[in-house]
This record gives sequence, C-alpha cells and structure tokens, in this order.
Amino acid sequence: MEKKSTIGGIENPEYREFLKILQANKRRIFGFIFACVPHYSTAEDIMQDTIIRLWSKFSTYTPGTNFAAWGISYAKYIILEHQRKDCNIRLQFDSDALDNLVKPFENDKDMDTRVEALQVCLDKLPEIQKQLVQMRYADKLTVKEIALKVGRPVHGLYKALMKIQGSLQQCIEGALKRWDMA
Amino acid sequence: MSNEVKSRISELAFKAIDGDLLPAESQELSGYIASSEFLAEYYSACIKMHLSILEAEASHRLSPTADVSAFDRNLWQTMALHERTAPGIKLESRVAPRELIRKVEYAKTPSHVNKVSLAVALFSAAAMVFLIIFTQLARFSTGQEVVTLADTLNASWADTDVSTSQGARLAVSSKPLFLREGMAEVLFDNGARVVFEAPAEFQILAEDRIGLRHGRIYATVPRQAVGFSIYTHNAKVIDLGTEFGVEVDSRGDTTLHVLKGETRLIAGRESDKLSIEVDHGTAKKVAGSTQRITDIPCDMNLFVRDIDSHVGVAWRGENISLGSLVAGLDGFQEVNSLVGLNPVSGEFVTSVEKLWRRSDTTYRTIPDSRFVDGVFVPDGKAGAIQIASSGITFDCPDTLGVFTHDIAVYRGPVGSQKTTIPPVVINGKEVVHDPILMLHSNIGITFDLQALRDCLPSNRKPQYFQATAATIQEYNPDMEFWVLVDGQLRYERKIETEDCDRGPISFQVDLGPEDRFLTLIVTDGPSGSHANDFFYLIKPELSLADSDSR
Repeated sequence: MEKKSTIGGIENPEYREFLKILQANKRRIFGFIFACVPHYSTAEDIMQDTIIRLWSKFSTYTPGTNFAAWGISYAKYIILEHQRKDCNIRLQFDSDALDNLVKPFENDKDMDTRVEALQVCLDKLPEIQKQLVQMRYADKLTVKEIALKVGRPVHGLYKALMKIQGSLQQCIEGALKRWDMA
Repeated sequence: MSNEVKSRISELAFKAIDGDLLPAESQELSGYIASSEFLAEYYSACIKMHLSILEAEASHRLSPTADVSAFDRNLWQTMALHERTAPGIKLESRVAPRELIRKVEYAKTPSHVNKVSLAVALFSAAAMVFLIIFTQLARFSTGQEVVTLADTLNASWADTDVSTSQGARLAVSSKPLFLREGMAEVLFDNGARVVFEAPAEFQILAEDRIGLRHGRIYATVPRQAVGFSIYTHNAKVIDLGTEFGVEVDSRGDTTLHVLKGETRLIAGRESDKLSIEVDHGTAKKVAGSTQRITDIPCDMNLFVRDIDSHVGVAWRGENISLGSLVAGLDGFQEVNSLVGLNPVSGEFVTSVEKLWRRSDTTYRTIPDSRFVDGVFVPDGKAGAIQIASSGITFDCPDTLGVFTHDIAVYRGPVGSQKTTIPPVVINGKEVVHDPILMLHSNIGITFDLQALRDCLPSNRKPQYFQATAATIQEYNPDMEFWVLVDGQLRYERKIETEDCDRGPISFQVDLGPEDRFLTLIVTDGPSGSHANDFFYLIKPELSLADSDSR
C-alpha cells in the first residue's frame, strides 16, 4: 500500500525518518538531476516529483542501504518522463548518458563537506577572482551577461572560470585531506 | 582525457547551465557523456563544483556587490594578456554524437490510487519537504520576497530604500538592513519567526536564511521550517527544531544560546572545523579572533523573544513576578526596595511596621494597579466574603478579623528595609536574592489574570503559579494558606508548629487560558493566636508559556 503523509505529517515517525534520510542525501540526488537537466526551475520540479515518488515508495527502501542510489534510480525515470512531456528541453540525455551520470553522484561522500570547505577556499581566491565568482554565483549572471557587462570576450571568461574552479578544487582536496575525509 | 576535451566539456557545461547550448552542442555534450564514464565523471565534477560554489557563495558572502569598474581594469588586463599568450585550443576529432531520437521505455506502475487525490494528499507534505530540502540551495534569486515585517517596537532603521513599515515584504537581497533602535519581528514564509534587537545589521540571504553581521536575534522555528539557518562571519547555525538566539558582538564573537530543541553549529578554523549539535539549555561562543568554540552559560533571558507593539511589550522569557505586581510594577521590573500594600485602604506604602488593626471584610479594589484586582481582610463569621471585583465569593474560615502587617514585597536583607518583618532564613542564611511576598494573617489579595493576558504578547500566557512557601519555625505560627482561582480552591496548606520542621515547600498551581482571578489568602489558625503568623512566598511567579508551543 502506498504511504500517505498526513497534514502535519511530521508527527509520523516514519515520515520523520524519511525526511532525515532525505536531508542527508538531497545534495546527491539533486546534483544528479541538475546534471541531467541543468535548468534550475525544471530541476526543482523534477526534484519535487522525485520526493513525492520516494515517499510513496519508502516502504520498499531497505534501511542502511545507499539512499542516494535508490533515490537517483527513481529520479532517472522521472527525468525521462519530463523529457518525454517537454520536448522543448534543449539538452536531453538518452538513457545511456543518464546511466553514466549515476555513479558520480550516488557514491559521492564528499558533497556535503565540499560546500563547507568551499566557504574557506572562496576566501583564499585573489580579489579579482572573487569578484568574478560573485557575479557568476551570487549575482547569478550568465557568462554572456558578464562578458557584456565587462566588455570582454565570452571565451576568455570560460577559461577564467575554469581556472577558478581548478584552484578551488585543489583547495578543497587539501582541506578534505586535512579533515581526514579525502 | 586531454585538456582540450576537458575545456570543451567545461565550456559546454557552462553553456548548458546558462541555457545557451546550440542544438549541435547539446548533441555534442550528450555524446561525450554517453560514450565514456570518464567524460561523464568530468562533466559531473563541473556540475558539482557549480552547485557547491553556488551554495557556499550564498552563505559566505555578506558584502554588497563589488564595484565593477575597479574589477574590470585589473581582471581584464590579466585576461587580455592571457589571451594573447595562451596556446590556441584545437579540438580533437569529436566522438560522434549518439543517436538521441530513440524510443524511451520506462516501467509503468499500475495505479491503485486515484492520482489526483494522491497528488492533493501528498502536495501539502511535499510542499513542506520541498521547503526543507532546499534550505541550502540558493535558488531564490535576489529580489524574491520571502519575509514579512510582522511587528516593530520603537524601531528606527538606517537609510534604506526598502520599506520598513509593518506588514512590508522583504526580499532576498545582498544589501544589509540596519536596525538602529528598538526591535523588529519578521516572519518568514516558511513560518520561522525572528526578532531583532537594535543595533543589528543583517541580510535576508534566502527564504530560510539570515546573515547576521552584528547584533542580536532570536529565532523561533516551527517544524515545517527545520533547516532554517543563521550565518555570521565565523559560524553557521542550522535549526534542527528549536528556539535559539545568536549574537555577534563588537569583538566579532558569535554566541549561540539554545533555549529549546537543538541546533547544529558549524565553526572553527580550516584545520579544526567542527560541526556540533548544541542542545537546549546550552550555549557556545565562537571567538572572533581565534575561531575557537567554547562553552558559555546559557542565558535564558538575554534575547527578546517576543514583541507586541499593541501593548508595548518586549519579552525576554522571564516569568511574571507577583512581587513586582504587588509593588505596582509591570511584573517584569524588579522590586529593589520594600513596598507595602494596605489591605484596608488599598494604598501603597513605603514602610511596613507592626500595628494592630481591625477591619471588616469589604473587598477593596486598587485603582493604582492594573494587575492587582483587590485586597481584603478575610473573616468568615458573617458568611461568604467577596474576593474579586466580579463579585466572586469564598467561604473562608472564621478569623479574629484583625491584621498587624500590610502586605509587603521586598528583596534583600530585611534589616535594611523600613520594616519590622523578621527575616526568612533557610539553611541558616537569610533569603536576600529572590523577591519575597510577605502575607501576615489575616490578609487576602487577588490578581487579575485577564488584565495580564491583555498586556502580554498574544502567544504568551500564564501557565501556572509557582512559589516557595516558608514560615519562621521559632515563632510557632498557626495559620492557613489558600490559593484560589476564580473562587475555587486550588491549593491549601495548614501551617502548624509541626509543619515548620519540614522547612520551605515549593508548590505550583496550574492556570487555564480562561482563568480570571488568582487569590492568595492567609488566615489565622484555630489556636486564636496570630501575632507570629508571618507567611513568606519566595519568588512567587506566573510562568509564561508559548500557547503555540510544539
């Protein structure tokens, strides 16, 4: 029988357990969805559908097993459903591509600590790189918009952002090693 | 994997995120990912980095957007040099894109439940979960309104182009708000309620997140908003279902006091960053200079938890002191020197000396007090006596009909007060730190609970009356103490000499939301002697509770 939550379903201990596990794995599941559909509002819609589906199927989840992997398996089908319904989604991966995207997310144990490490690593960026990060990730400008704003070629910005990501990746790896999590 | 391919995948990933992929580029990216697990992994790493920076940047940066012109000069000179000197990028022959148009098959799940009703039934739960899940993904763009300014009390804001009138909607913004004076209460759309106390500077970072630069804030977070977070320059506090206060002081120290439930505190230097759970009744400090986390005493009354501009109240979690009410104060102000209340005239006096007086049982209201309904001298010889302004009566026992001391409230050594009241001693020490309400037989006093409720924040109600009762053993008192609520007996204690051997006794009387009058009476005992009937209530209080508490 499919589970249903009640209004104020937090009172349900099983629902509370579901939320707890979901909270611990949400970055992995959403990361997979966003990798497949790198468009925020669509990825969020898919995530919401995925959560509903996961809750309805929670009785089939085996406690102690990889929840992210379990959740991603449902997310994959929901992504395919969305792609079927919305042909305007520009980037549509076939099932082979989706399969190749599963492993990098379902087993990534560092996604949570990566964010924490980044908060320190962002501080270490040179000022001008910080400003580019700010425009891209805080002000949420597209690369083209940044290029127009600063009057520089788009391609050069791609290279600059890649370089920043490379620096941050090195910093994160160093931090994770120091935290004995690498 | 060559650097050229990496660069190309990175570039395609950026374009995909920005929605700038051309159809051919979509096929190209899809082909890369479908053909190779390594390329798929590299693309995934780009996505993970993007999401992680997005999340970290949202919580990390609390300063306004930088001046682009200054940025422009330095960065673009550097980039221009790079463009002139970097080797050209040649793309190797690309992997042929896979055929995308193929039949997609997926398992069909037989539906045993009407889908519409299922969707409706689950929507509310999903909506709650949805809010919880995305607490750390800054998907709400700057400008999205997520907060309502619910109430303010004597508030004054620094120059701002944001409306700060009551009921105004506040948006996610990179610009800080500065509360210069007074207090302000905001209500997030997810139900979290936050009270700011000036001076405070803060930002609305997301629909469930505040950045606190300095000042003091108190958060009350309901279940559906679990995950609500407060970020300071050196710490992050994540609610796990709680009420808590955070302060950033002028030294840059962040302190966290958890009053209910539990939170998660993330702080510390890179080499020893900690993520710890902080439970109710505990407090931590994150030093601004060293980032060290230390234990500190949890101050239950440091933060303003509630404000109500209609009644002009800012509540810091204290109980209502009956002594403060007897002294003609508001229940929160402390009694610092002796105040007496004449049970016959209803007048306040500044000294309480022994003086034999006889009185009838007339109930006298106290015009100068909002919360003391009236006083009287109890004697049941003539029948039931009035004990409240509404006309409620009580069948009290017969008494001598005389009294020797006014009702008295004081704090500190009694020897320094204008009174002949003997000190109350417990374990060989005079009680000096707590307020004391002294009732000598035969005396009665009634408090108006409704008048109190009318002056409190709407969700804070008296839940029970509590005190520690004491007498003077050596005086061999013989009296009775009564607690009535709306004329109904709720607590009674006969004090005979044998009782004094038990020492002070703490007690509690529950109060309901509709209870109107709380009456305290002390009558002389059957022995007929009452000269030594000193009855002390140490720290008599009304405990306030959250009427919406979880």
